[in-house]
Amino acid sequence: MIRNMLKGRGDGVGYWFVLPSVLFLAVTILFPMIYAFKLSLFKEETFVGFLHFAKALSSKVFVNDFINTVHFTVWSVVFHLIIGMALALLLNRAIKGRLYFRVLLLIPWMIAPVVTGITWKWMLNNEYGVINDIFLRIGIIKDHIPWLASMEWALPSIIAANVWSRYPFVMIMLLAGLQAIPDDLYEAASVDGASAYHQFWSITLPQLKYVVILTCLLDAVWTFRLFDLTAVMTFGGPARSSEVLSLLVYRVAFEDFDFNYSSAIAVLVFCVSFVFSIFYIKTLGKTTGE
Amino acid sequence: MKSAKPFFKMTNVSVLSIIIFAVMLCMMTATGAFSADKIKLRFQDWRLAEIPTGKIMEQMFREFEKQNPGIIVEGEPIPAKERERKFVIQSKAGNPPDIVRMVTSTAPKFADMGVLLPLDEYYKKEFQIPYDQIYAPHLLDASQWKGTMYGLPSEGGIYFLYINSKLYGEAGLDPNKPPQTWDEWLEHLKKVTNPSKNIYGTMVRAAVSVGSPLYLKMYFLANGASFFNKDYTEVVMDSPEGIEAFKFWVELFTKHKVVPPGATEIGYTEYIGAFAQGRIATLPLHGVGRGSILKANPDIEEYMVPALMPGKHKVALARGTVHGISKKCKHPEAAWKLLQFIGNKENHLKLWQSSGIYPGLLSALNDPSVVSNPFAKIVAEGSKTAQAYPLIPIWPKTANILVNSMQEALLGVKPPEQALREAADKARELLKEYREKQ
Repeated sequence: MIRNMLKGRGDGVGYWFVLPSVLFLAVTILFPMIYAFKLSLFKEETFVGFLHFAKALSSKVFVNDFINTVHFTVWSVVFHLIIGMALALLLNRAIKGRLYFRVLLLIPWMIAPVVTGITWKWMLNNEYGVINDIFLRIGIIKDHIPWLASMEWALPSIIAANVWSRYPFVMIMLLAGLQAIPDDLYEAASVDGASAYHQFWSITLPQLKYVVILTCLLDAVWTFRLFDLTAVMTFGGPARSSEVLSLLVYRVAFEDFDFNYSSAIAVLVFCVSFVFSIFYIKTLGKTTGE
Repeated sequence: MKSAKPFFKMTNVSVLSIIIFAVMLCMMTATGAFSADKIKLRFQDWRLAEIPTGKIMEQMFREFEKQNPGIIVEGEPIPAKERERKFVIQSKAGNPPDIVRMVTSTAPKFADMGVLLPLDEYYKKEFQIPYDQIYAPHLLDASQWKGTMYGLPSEGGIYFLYINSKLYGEAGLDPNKPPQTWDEWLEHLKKVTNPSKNIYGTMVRAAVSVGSPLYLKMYFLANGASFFNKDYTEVVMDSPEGIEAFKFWVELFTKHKVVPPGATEIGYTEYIGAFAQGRIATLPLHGVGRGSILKANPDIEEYMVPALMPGKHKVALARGTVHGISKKCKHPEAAWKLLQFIGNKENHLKLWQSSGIYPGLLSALNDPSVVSNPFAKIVAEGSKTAQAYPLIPIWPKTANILVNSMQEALLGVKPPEQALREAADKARELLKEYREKQ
């Protein structure tokens, strides 16, 4: 390979083209990752091995935040899938103005997460929020609910904001998958008398199986390390009820200035994301036959 | 016959070389690389990003440069939220600014990290009278760490009570007779509070932020309590006076309901915003907050009346900023000279007149042009006995513990006394761990 690279022939030429990107990734991703891992093994200048990892895993705060992150990820992915699937099925039909609906439904994804967080924060405001106002008017609630100021509602509120913000990605992925399903499968099923319900369970879902799995895995990786919404909307409060691991990393690094411990937590977050990624790569391999 | 190609290539290379050289020449001139004999001082300050303070400070820098032709001052404005982070990261990267402005609780932390230059010899050369005759005592406390001076006081100020005279009048109360005790204050708060009109007696600030527990400390000081003892060897927040103060604060929300709902999401913006909207009758807040309130609603100025915090003890919480010189500063004498210039009486008065920043220099704070303002008069009076923010490097971690307990107590997760005792126990562990490292 290297000989081909140096002689500029065959596959070697391709490696020259990817070299700048690889170098860029090495500098911006690989080096910080290795440095963070190195930091996690030290306490200032002293090597302490896995002390920080042991501290994190035995820390009530870490466990609390891990559970919050799992809740946040699971519920976000589930609702992304339900809403994404429903909208993808609708958009897959030959309805008037389908193109405009697709663009409209993509808008939440186009908005920067910080802007989403600030907007939802105000919408959910206890006194001035439009959500409390609407719910009161239509009689769903009898009194203002402190959505972001109560331990019961803070995390679910952030999940709602995240579902609104990120469902378009799942919708687009599933829509692409739906459009790849051959029409003659549905025609044959219709001829055999299968209802829409049966067609969905017997044709659509099995055909979409790998798309669903891959999309959910990608969504899970991204959601697990989400920072913006929790930082903007509640900063982990009240009483850490909405604090997630990425926010903990930030607070330990930039409030306590404990870069070593925060690196250890970041490495643990990376390990979880890595597990998701392995499943993703294995599933992708199955779809491409590799 | 020779082909034209080599000549063309040479010309191409020559042209490129000339262009690169010209660009470098311009850059070197712009950065003053040719003026190698000039000293450059980098001055990092969030006030430089504020209007009109930033402009006034830049004018001061130009004036200083005129008086000191061998020195160039380069202002580095930063967002207020980045003020600690930026300096720490730059220090760890080996490229800190020469001078940094710090909130009073930050100076001991930076000194403990070893990123600030000790200033004792500069103080001894400059000041021939006791320092507490020059600067407010709380600012001097905040400028030192383990007996060594690391900062030069800049801004001063205290926390006090802002009274909305209109709401007081409508409730039949006299704003010129502010409450002196908590019982009296509670009586006033109940008279003013009218939830149907969205009007409340006061606010509590309990959003997740290192700043939130400082607003709680006002109540502690007013009741003769504190978070740490004087030499920071013990945690004393769960003393009987501390528990009483904490309970009073919590019950404003949970029992007496004289504060708006959603206390755990009230941060600084919501806190001053509610007062600016004319919905809050009394607001414990620092002096600099007046500018923020008036920015939000200039019309409320005529209704704002200052008063000292009610309570058994008239001990206010002090605030302020100090300037420090980085340990990596190559020209500390020049940096000290600049700080002396920025911190002279004339410049303190300029900042007061333009931006309402309370002077930390006593001669400026007690100047007739300053104390004629009723807010500054309260600040000058309260500064004599005011106590600074917690001056220990573990304060941010302790603050996070306290915020948690504050929110748990407000939400009824734990009774106030239990929440505070648990916070105190955690703070003790932190303090023990910290002292073992020393």
